[in-house]
Amino acid sequence: MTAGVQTGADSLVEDYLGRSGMLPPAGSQLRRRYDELTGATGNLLPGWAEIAGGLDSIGHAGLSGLTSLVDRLLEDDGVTYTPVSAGQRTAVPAQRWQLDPVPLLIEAADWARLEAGLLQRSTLLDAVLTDIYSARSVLTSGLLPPELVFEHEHYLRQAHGITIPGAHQLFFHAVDVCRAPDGGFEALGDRTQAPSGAGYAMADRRVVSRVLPDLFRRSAPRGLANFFHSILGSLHAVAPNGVENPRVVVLSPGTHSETAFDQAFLASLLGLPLVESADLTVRSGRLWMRALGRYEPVDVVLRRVDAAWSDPLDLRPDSQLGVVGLTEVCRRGTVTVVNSLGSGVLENPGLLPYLPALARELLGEDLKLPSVPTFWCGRPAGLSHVLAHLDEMVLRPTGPGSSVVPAMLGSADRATWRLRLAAEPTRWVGQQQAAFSEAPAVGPRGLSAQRVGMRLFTVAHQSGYVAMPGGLGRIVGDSGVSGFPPAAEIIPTGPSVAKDLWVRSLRVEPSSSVEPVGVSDQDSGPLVQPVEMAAAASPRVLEDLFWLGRYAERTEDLTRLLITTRGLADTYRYRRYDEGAGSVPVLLSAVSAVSAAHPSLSSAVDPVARMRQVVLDVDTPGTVAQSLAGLQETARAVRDQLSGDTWMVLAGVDRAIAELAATPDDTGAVLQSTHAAILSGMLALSGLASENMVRDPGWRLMDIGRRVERGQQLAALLLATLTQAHRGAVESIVIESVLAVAESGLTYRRRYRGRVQVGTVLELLLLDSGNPRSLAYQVGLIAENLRLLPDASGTSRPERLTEELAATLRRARPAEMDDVDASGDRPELAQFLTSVNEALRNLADAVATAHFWRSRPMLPLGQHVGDKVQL
Amino acid sequence: MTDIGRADEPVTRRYRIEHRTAYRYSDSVSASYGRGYLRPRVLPWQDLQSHTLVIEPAPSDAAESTDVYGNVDSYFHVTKSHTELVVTGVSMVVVRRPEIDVVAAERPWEDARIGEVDAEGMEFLLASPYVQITEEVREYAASSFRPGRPAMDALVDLVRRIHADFKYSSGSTKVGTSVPEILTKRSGVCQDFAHLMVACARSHGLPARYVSGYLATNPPPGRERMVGVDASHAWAAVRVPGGHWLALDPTNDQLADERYTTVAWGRDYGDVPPLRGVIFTDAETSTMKVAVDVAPL
Repeated sequence: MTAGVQTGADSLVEDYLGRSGMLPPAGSQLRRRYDELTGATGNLLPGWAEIAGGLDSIGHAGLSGLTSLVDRLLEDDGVTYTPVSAGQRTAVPAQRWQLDPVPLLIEAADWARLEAGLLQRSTLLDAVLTDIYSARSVLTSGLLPPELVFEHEHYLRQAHGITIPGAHQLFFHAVDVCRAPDGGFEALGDRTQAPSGAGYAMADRRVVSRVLPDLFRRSAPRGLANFFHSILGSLHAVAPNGVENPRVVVLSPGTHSETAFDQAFLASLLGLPLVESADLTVRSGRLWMRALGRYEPVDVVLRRVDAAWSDPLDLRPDSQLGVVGLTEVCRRGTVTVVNSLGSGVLENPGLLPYLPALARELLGEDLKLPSVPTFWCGRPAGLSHVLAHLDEMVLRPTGPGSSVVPAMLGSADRATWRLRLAAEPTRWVGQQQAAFSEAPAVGPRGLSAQRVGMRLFTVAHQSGYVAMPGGLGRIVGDSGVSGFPPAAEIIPTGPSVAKDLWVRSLRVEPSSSVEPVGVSDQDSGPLVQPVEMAAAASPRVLEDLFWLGRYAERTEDLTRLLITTRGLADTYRYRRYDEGAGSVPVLLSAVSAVSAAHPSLSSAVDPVARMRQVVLDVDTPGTVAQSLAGLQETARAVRDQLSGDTWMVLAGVDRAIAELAATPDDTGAVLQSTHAAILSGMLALSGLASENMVRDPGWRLMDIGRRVERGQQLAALLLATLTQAHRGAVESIVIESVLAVAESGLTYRRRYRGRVQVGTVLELLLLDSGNPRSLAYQVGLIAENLRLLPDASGTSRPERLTEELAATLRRARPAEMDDVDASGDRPELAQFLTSVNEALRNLADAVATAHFWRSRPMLPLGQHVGDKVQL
Repeated sequence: MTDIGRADEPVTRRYRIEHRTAYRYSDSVSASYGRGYLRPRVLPWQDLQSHTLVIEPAPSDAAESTDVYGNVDSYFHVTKSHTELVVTGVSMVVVRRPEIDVVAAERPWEDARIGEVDAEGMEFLLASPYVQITEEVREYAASSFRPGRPAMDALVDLVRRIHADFKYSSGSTKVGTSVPEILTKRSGVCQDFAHLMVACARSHGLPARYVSGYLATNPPPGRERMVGVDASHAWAAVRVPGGHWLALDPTNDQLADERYTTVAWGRDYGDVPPLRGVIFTDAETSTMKVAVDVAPL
């Protein structure tokens, strides 16, 4: 019996250790894989023994609960991965991140070895990068074949002359690592363009530490927060010379980028604004961020846009993700971009065979973290080796593109690949298929053995590098090659499952809960001064927040209307000839009018079924589903502005909708609870907005969006319900329903002692500035928000339009609007509401013109040569 | 091959070169960012006495820098709203007839192929975005590169063949026509012939680069020289045995001599366009007028 493992049939770990397949099948060429649990000893390693004990106490029964808890927490934290279909630029919805609950452990002694290798590898690649973009002695001396650099897509000639201040040119470095059968660590490749995954690693840690709290406390893996402190310190250190409190931003390609979550989460962890290309501009020889009609200087950019796409002037002219002139200001040294433009050249796997010699030449050391044996086909010896061992190889392109596993191809395809390698040898490497080690993961029946790899991170820090004591563990796909999102990785085989990577500390720390990044337990140099950054004031952010406010309000208002309408429809379902039943079509037509989506709702045979559609149909504008999609999209775009609790709220709403979608023959009960969940979610969001957000310009625009939307929804509701007089009981039922939808029934009954008149309803809903649901109240708050914006003039167009609307309301005469003409209409009311709607639309447009910057279309300047021109 | 090394010609020339590019837009442009390669290089056979670059409207920011090949490029940013943008470069240059190491150039062309460790050579040997090296290119070049042929002979023959086989066809192609397209169409302009020449040389292992510049044209006998009829020009330079770069003009079937002012060189056109940029505008149409005048002084 092994220490720490429970005996008996219910021991997960005993079952796991006794699994078949520990040994390769007879005749197999594959070597036995390294077993992470037992290493070379056959007994549980000390760190794993602890984990094994924890898993056994959870038992078979608890395992599936563990997985669903992980999924739920990932949803609540909004941890997503956005698949990108190759060759297409269509938007794909973000998916939940996949995480296995069982951590992957690295013993302290192993980590010490691995860390030394990582740091050395970063130092080495830094030296190579520096040289490639300056003296180029590694090329002229023959240490590195120049084709590997000159032919590489990420080698940017425009980057010559750009230097990062400080000791290093390579800022972030990630290494994909696996373990050989002897337990030795081997690098599969290096990530240097804009390494992703550090944010995911932290997100994974936060989830696993909550799912396995006892185990986490006992095992006490090394914390990750200090690594992010180092990043922040290093970002400040690389600011252009003489800048004391540098302004740092994270440049993201946007929410449709594959690792949008990772980017946004990193920005929030570091407390840096998340920006997109539209937020930045180059003027007067430096980089600026747009902010409420002003420009804020930017000193350092953490770049997550691939370098070639980051400047349409000097790099790819077709890029919409870049900043025109960025290369120029980098060359002039007025801004520092990390990773530096052109750093992606180090991702070429063709460099791997040359690293040992480079290490000896440049560092005077042997390479401590070797690469998986890799052969560049650009030299005859490499090519013939790869051709002779084709079935053991993974063929990887030196530049961007997908890898190929010849062993998985038919003989005709293999022959084609042989020809291709011979035809374009410099473009390919053969990498020995890595064995990968095995570690337990939650499987369908207990623990299953999965092949695992890991991505490890370093960042330049003062004179050396710092490694994250942890990383992104991952389960390797069945194809025998690792598939970790994003697709730039070794081989993309679709999203794979992550594992939290636990590095054991040498001494057992008493307790290490997940430290917040914002609080350092370690003196890491002088305190960084806070920088006032008008992050929330970039026009793009303001616009996203404005729409966030609108979508949230739209969802809430429509849901309220649906709740009341469904209730009414229910009441009269079996009393169709009751006098009050005439109110149902009126409310249904209001649903149609407000959602602007389902014009035939009032004549629907089954109103409940149609109302389900109004909730679920994401492809039709005006539905709840679509407003929620807009809400999620805008929220992701401004993740750094929002409370982390936002994701929990949105996840709850998503779950309610998923439940409704999963019960197609629901007759109303699930619909009802879904409505309630959506409403409570939206109430929670407005609570977060009012209690958890600083009143900065972003908040003001969000609130303006909410107020404009509420005003428009109210006007649309009243237009659809009260501009026609209804007969008898219908009128009062409609009025009461309207009051309920507008959340003013209680006040109304109290104030007007139960007498139901359209005139008094209008007074309460349109003119009462004390009623937070009234139009007058919305207009008042819009005016206040506009007045408190930093660039308020008192006479701006939005302010003038708001003042006009307020005046219109002051002049309104509810008693006259109550008048019914001969055909049973209330023309004054209809006219008034139409004009209010129009005024609110104009106001929204004016706000957009004033605060949301719109670039004019970007076009190339015509080119010419000789007598030929291209416009 | 015409008029190379006629002893009665002066071997030093002085030019005032004006290169004016005017863009006109149907609507206002709120910002223009530009990058130009308009400043002639300083070379052993070429002096730059003065160079001015005038941009109208005046840019709010402008700067010069040196690129990876030693060319001087200029950056400008016009922030004043405009419907017309005019970029005028004026250069005073002195050009001498480049000396050719005849002994080295008479060595077999194979001697010019790059060696084991030769980073500079490799940079100009690999295919580049506008210079595709296909089997067709190799075949076309092969008859000029017979084994053991003196390098000068081979290159002069190649230039002569391109001149003979391809029709100069004004405006027949867009900027950036691919080499296979040129081979198929059998016509093109200077840029295309320079790219083809570069591709042919590279296909046989000789490093070759694309050269952007100006050619002084002689008026027909008895006629006045017309101002502004000239254009910017492009040719090729091939590294010959001994490491010298021999500049040849396939468009005019001659070696580049004192009539050729070198502005910039790179792997192909894409590295050194005279002017490129990005504008922000709602304009739907635009026109471009280019006037180049190379005036002998």
